[in-house]
Amino acid sequence: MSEIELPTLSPRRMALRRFVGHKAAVASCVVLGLLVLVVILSPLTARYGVNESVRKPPNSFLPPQKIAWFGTDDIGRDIYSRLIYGIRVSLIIGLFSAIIAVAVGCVVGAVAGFRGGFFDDVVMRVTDLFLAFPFLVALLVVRQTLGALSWLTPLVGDMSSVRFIIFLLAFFGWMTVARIVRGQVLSLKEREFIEAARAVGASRRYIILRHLVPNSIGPIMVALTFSVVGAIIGEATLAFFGYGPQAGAGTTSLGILVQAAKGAVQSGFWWMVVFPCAALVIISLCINFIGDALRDATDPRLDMGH
Amino acid sequence: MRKTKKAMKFAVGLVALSFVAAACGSGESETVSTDAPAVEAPGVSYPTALADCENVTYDYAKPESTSSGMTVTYDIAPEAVWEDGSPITVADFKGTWDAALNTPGSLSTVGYDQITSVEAGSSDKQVVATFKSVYAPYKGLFGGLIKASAVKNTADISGDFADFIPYSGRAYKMKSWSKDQVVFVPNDKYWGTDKAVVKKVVMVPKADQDTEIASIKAGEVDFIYPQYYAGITEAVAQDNITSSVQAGGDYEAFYFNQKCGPFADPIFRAAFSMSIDREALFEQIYIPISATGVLLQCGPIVPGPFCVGDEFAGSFDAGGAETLLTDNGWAKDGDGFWAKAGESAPAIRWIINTGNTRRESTQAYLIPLLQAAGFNVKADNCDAACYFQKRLPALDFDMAMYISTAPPDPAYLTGGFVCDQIPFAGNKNVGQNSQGWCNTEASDLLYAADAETDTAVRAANIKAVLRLMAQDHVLLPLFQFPKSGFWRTDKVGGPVEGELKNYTAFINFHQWTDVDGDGQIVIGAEQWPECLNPITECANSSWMVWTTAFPVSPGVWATTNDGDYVITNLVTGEPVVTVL
Amino acid sequence: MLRFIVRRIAWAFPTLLLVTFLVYVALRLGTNPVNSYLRSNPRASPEKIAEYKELNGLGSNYVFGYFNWLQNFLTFNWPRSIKGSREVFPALKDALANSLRLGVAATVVGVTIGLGIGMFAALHPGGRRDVTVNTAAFIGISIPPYISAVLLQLLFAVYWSRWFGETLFPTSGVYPAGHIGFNPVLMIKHMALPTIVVAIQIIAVYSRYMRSSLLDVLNSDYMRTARSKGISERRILIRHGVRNALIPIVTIAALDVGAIVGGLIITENVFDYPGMGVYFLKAFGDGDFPLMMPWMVLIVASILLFNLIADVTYAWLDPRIRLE
Repeated sequence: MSEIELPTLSPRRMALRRFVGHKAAVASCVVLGLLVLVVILSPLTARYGVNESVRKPPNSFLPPQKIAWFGTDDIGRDIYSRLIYGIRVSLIIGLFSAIIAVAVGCVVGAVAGFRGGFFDDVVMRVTDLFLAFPFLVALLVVRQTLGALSWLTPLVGDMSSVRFIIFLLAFFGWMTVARIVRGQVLSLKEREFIEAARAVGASRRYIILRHLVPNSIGPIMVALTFSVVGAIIGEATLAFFGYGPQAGAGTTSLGILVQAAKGAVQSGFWWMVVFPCAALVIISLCINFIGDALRDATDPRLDMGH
Repeated sequence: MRKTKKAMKFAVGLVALSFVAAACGSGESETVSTDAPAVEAPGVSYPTALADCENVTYDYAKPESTSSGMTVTYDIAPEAVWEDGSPITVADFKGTWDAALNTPGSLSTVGYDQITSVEAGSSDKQVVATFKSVYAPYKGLFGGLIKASAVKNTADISGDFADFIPYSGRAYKMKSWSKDQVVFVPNDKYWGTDKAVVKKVVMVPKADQDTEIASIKAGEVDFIYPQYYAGITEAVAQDNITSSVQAGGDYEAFYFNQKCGPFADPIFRAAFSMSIDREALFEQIYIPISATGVLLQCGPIVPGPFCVGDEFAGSFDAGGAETLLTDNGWAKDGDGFWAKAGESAPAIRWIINTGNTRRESTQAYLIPLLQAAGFNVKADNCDAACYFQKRLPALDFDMAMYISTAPPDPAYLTGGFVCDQIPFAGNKNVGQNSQGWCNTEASDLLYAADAETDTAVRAANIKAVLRLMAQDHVLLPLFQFPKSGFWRTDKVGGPVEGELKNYTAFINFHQWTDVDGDGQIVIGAEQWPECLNPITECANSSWMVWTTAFPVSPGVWATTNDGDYVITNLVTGEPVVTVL
Repeated sequence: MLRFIVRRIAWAFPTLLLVTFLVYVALRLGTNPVNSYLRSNPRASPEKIAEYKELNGLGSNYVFGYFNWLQNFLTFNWPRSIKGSREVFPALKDALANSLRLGVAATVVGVTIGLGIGMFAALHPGGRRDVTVNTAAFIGISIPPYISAVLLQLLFAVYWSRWFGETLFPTSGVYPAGHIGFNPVLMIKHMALPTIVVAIQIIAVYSRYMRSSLLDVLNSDYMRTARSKGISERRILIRHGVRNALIPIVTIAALDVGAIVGGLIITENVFDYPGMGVYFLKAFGDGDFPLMMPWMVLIVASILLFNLIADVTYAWLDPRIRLE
């Protein structure tokens, strides 16, 4: 099939068209969009409260039925409603920590890439070492240390709160973003329009803010997507080992629900396993697909292939 | 180009904002910091900060003992020998007493500190222990002897038995011990008639309950003794696995810290206690675990000769709680929480150890109910090490919930509920009364009970104490926790269910038979000790004593499955007690 | 080239010191070693407490304390664990051996299969094979390892034994209960399930690396030149394509192997496999400073070592740097 390519298609349009061509990514957008909609409208879409039991005892471990679409857990709470609230918390954690990570990472990465020299070296070495550390180990140690620094508590909140987890995961996320942005800036640095700007006498800050960052939107968006999924999986991992947001009396998260699944596998309460795990896998799959498609869409090298 | 970028940023911002709005609308509550206790607004009438707790003192003195003491005479069986053939004599009794009393780091000197001397009677095989006062729980002493010749200095055995116990006075002896397994082989010198049946018994640690259950289903272990939880019967359901669930000496309860904090105020504490519907809690949380379970009504004690009443029945009285509070100047504030006139509503920290799904679910179930009733309860959890070794002993909590194992003798009540066992600066913060309850009448009764050899009088004393506990709203007893054993019928047979609720747990494994012919029985353990010293901190764990000390240490009295004491074949007859 | 290597090695030592110092500070702040010791040994005598502080360098000044600890560490005067005074070195050695066995086995299996699958997919990009492989790889990455571990454990150990009487693969540990001594067959049987779980992850990642790297290379200019010269596709693929595609992969692989040592935590946890991951989790849960520090030093040293190997390999393969 031959297509007449209008030479005036902007890179934006081409990127969009390539993205739309990835069927999996488009399907993921739709699925994710629906999920987000259901979750945002949660007081309406959830059938019960987070800690509300579906009826008087006996109500434990009921299989899926009319009063509880996804069954109930050990004290008769509706898994369907808890899943909605849990996904909401996990998406919040994912989104906010990714936003903080990207914000910090962009700045550090852009400055490192542009200035080069000692600062760049230091940033690269530090992030190298930190990222090479086993993830869970670093996560636990940093979590413990951050929690022990009492002067930070007003900012990051108490160790068992959602806010703390957001900051903790952002602390890990910014490094990957910084490296990506740095790489992008390095490759852009030598381009003519940058040289032209420098020749005209533009300040470093102007060049970074007005030229480098906007032209890195592609990789930044890709980094954002992968940060989100990384944070969601990170929160689930923390909860798996018991270090997630406190289950107790308040919130629940996707990680907590998946952790409860572990005990339910052997007992044959399949509804406690299938629905939370499927939700986790579907969410990360969708975000992965979208990120992958974004990466392909914004890759300037593919512009030449046609 | 700019427009699409801006539009995209705006869209992202909108989505983020809507999340935030949705989140705020749900009323998520953040939990309280585990480090510093809640500092109240000025104007409360009880000490709240831990630092203030230090200044609380108790005006109580243990009543002077009027008795002149007693002696207990043990007649060791002539054929009783250790694994190398050397006889068990008074030297071993004396060494055990010396070690328990004087070893630095000894877990518990209670009881042994009442003994003034351990001497030979008519021969080496007769032991006379002299007590400085009448000590009723004497049957709990000398239940696990240490071989005196196996240690260099019986006054300090803290360096011994780090990773092996070489002696044995029972059917099995230890062949090897490592962090992966312990292997027992028959003790050929054992003099009893109940010799070991199977030639090899192995015990292995399993990381957690899921691994344990997978192991027994896969046939890698033959017997497990898990802590019961909802869903376990379904998890282990398999044709060749059978189970036995028995109500033993374990019980769970709510405990209120009365030394300082909001529950130092007896009115508030009473009202709070009266607002908890134990029956409904029992139905929701405990019946699903075990339909045969029992809601305890006596107090911190399981049904038996010392628990025959129902002092705590009818503890739930929501209307009464409200009247009590309003009559004493409390009123609901703007948030709907009870507050005393001129003060802010107290926050109640409910602490459990993390990782226990049932307790976390209990919190999730009960906290909304309590908050609706007007009590600002917050979950404030921490892990097992922090819980049992830091927060509880320091009384850094308001409401706690945990399981205790009660030995057959009710002397454990003394350690846990007398005034002078409350940790405070005056007694160097050592003590087991982590509720901080001080009732002089009850303390006197408990000490009197410990010195009372007449069982009926002792029972009456204990009953009176339990009634005082109910009146003072010290705690709320909940559930007599079941003990459960699961085993593979195609791998192990014999009297497996015979001793499952015994304080010494599955102690009769020397009588089990090997059904599948592989020459060994494998028992899965939920925890594994770090060291094997039976006197020091190492022994502060049930699994440690169940897997190492109990199977090899001979003793005068053994606990029975029915929660009683019975003499063993170590002695020729019931030891003779003479009150001086 | 040699100067390059020497310079890199020279930088490694101060980095090692600095990073272990940061780890020391983080652990001291976060886990409060003195409190943990008192928690596990509430009846310890003041002499024992002082000895513990001395051996672990827990004096009030962090810098002096660190050098104190370092001195003890380098002279092999290692303090014992806070629980039961176990020796650290044997425990660490065992854990390392177990993890290395598992990690190397899983990596070898995973990388070989992954590269093979990647090549398989790259041959017909966009075709059905490619799409299946891609989706499968995606799913492999998206399923958290603990879910796949638990499900596999259930399938191969529990259900298999129910259907066939005997388990195919054991659920946990290194040897069956009651076994003493060395037995390679039993060891391999016990390692099978954890290896499969880890290998799945590795296959998912490496098949995608290989596929994209190979596609890059196959579509590049010099490959077109080779094709126009008339060389057969097969020869192109093998001689030029795969070799060049491997370059970026090798550097990543070198870094990944370094991460194996501590990165199998979740799998080890589910399968109760006594490796480095379980070692750390237990030590961290107890706040056991004497157990954690040597572990950290080992991990940092291995990270730096593998970074070095990756740098050197890349330099060796990339002629630009070689000629420096």
